[in-house]
Amino acid sequence: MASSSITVALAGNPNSGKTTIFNNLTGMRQHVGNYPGVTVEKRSGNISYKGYDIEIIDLPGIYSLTAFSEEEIVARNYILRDKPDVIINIVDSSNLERNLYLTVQLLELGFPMVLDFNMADIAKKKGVKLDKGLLSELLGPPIIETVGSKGKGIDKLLDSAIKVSKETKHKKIDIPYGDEIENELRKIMTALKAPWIPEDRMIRRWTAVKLMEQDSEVTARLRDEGSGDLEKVLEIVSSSIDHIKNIMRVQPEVLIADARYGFIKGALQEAYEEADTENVDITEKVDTILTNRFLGIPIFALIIWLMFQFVFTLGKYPMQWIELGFEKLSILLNSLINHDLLRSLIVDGIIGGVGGVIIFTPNIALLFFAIALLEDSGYMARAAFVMDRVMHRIGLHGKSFIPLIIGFGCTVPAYMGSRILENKKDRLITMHINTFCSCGARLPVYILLAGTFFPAYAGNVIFSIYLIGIIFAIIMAKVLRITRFRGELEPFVMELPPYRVPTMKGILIHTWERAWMYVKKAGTIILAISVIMWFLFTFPMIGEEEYSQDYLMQLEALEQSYETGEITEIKYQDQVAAIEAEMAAEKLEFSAAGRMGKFIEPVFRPLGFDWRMVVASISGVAAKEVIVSSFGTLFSIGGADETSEGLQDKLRDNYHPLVGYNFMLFTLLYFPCMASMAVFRREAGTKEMLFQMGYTLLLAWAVAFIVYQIGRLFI
Amino acid sequence: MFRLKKKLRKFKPHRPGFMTLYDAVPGKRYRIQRVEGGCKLNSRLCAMGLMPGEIFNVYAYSRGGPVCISVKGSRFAIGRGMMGRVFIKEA
Repeated sequence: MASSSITVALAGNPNSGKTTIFNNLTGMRQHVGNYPGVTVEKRSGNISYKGYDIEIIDLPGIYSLTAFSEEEIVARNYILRDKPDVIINIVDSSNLERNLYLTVQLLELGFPMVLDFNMADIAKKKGVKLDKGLLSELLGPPIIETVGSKGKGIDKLLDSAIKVSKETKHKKIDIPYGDEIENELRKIMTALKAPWIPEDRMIRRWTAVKLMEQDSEVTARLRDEGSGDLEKVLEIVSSSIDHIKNIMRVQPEVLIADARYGFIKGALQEAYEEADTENVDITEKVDTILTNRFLGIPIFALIIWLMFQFVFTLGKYPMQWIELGFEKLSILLNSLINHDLLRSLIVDGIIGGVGGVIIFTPNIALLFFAIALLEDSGYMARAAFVMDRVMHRIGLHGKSFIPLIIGFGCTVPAYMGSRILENKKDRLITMHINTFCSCGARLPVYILLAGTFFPAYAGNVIFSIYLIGIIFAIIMAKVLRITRFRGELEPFVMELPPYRVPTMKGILIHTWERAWMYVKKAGTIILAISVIMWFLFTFPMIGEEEYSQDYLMQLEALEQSYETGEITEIKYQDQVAAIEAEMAAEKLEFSAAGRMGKFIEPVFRPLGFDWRMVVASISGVAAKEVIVSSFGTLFSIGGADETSEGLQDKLRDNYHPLVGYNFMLFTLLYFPCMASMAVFRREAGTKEMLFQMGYTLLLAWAVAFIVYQIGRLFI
Repeated sequence: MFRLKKKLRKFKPHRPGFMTLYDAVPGKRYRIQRVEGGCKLNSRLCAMGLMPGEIFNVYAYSRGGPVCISVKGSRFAIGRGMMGRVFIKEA
């Protein structure tokens, strides 16, 4: 039945408690997606309530319906195009004047609306007196008081929304903008009477107001919808703006805002009484410590350190359990599946690949738990304030610091954490340089190579690699800012929300969402890539006669001499392992990956790399720590890890220390693993992902080339 | 080069005869006179409640970084780039 399904959109200022209300309304029945073409998150949820199917859309938090940010455009376009049945406007009761500014703009659109005065308890505590009935009469929509953190008033809110959606007549309000502006608005509205403008008077008036405010998006949209009359309209608009500027000496958009505030103040004067006593603001007191110019950065560093510990130290335990689980699963499957190839595909390819990605899930969940805690408590805005000066120097926003620091642990959550940056350019630059914050998976590679080639200075060598990474992050941030992501930093104006105790429900929902999103990714794209990688490293298969030596004969001979008691069991097993490792090395050389390595080798010769290093780098795409085990296979050392001496000896025999260092540099600079690239694509799109892969590869090659060619002069 | 840049940085915010957010000191109360910005920025600031005529005070700042101001129970951090565009008067 069509009449029993209702669409409800939630609109409101950032920090008005909108998300808490949304969580209360929908619980776990939420769906997170993206609005088409933009990186703004779209949250929705379906509930059934008193026989109605209600779809609830959580619009992004906005201050007004201008075209200042992606969020505002998204919210506005949703309301105008998708026409929700009811808008619930969530308002912070303790900050009415500012919050009602958005309300007035929504009222101007003439949509059915319910006003949700949230955080009513805080307002009451402050001693605010409010005549709900009178204010509702003055503004139009019904007013419902709620306390989101305690779930109070949610049913009433839904009842009211259903009631409003059924009403056919809504009170329409014209904000009086003063004679001068009204005159100009009338002129513009007359000119707008063209077939391409909706008949609705409210929308037409709204469009005229937006044109006076020089809203670029509305102009662009009118142009898209196409008509020759537009030029005439724009001419009238610009003469109107000049006229207002001349006689009022103020920009029209400021006058319009002033009129809106005037309307709000008028309504509030009658229905609202502020507390007489000036409350001592706790938030400001806390802020004088947390944002103190001497203490601010140390406190921030401490909090980040705690977060790091929380994410990576605490995350270690569940990671071990998951690892153990996958190990047991591999053993079980090894004994269940008889077919060699199938077993290898499932155990080495799929479980190895997907398992290696799933294993990071505890990190992701803990990280987002920590981020949600910082964000909901209000500290995140302070962190941005404290770090802004430092990050500004490299052309980034204060908040960028957080994903960058996370990147030292794991790049995957770092990319996802970049969401805290609202501005798209800032976010993309942060993501593009994040790979240079060397992640934990690369550490085994450094330990192996530094330990092999520079045993006495291994610590310093590894430190130098990290440092070079940071230097490249700074350089590339600057370079990207003046090339691909040109444009000034967005003017830094940010509201510092009051400190609040976060609700557990909100944090858990947020954490669950992110973790689930990640697991889903592992189950789809990463599964596919793992299978492809397995095929590359397995086929074409080497035939018995294609081995350089007759290994099977050797094995048979060994078995015989063992049975006759010529050699001991230990010696027998050692020799079998050695032969099998050599077979594995030849197998790999014969496979597509091995051939690719040999084929591409000339490109990497100028870096001092041989085909084995190329193959190891290719396998590093699956996950960087795989490079170590690949070296093991390539040099036919079975079961190698970063400390195995056999592998270290082989590496020392085959490469000069310069090449070893160069390989570390290359590993540092080229894009991280496939899991991170899959997340990159999800967050920023295919084009940006390909750019990331392309430019980091080129950079890695160029740097390694220069270092090798110059270094060669000295050896 | 570095010294010149430093000089420029110092010079830029200074506008004789006018007072901008650069000149605001913590603890005093000021009134916003006007904002020198494009229509987008103006609309944004108005929506946030930073209207000409509003009274505010600076309650935290970092040298060479943004300032924190409080206006009618809301608090805002305003970056260097913007400070020179906000003209103020002691209230």
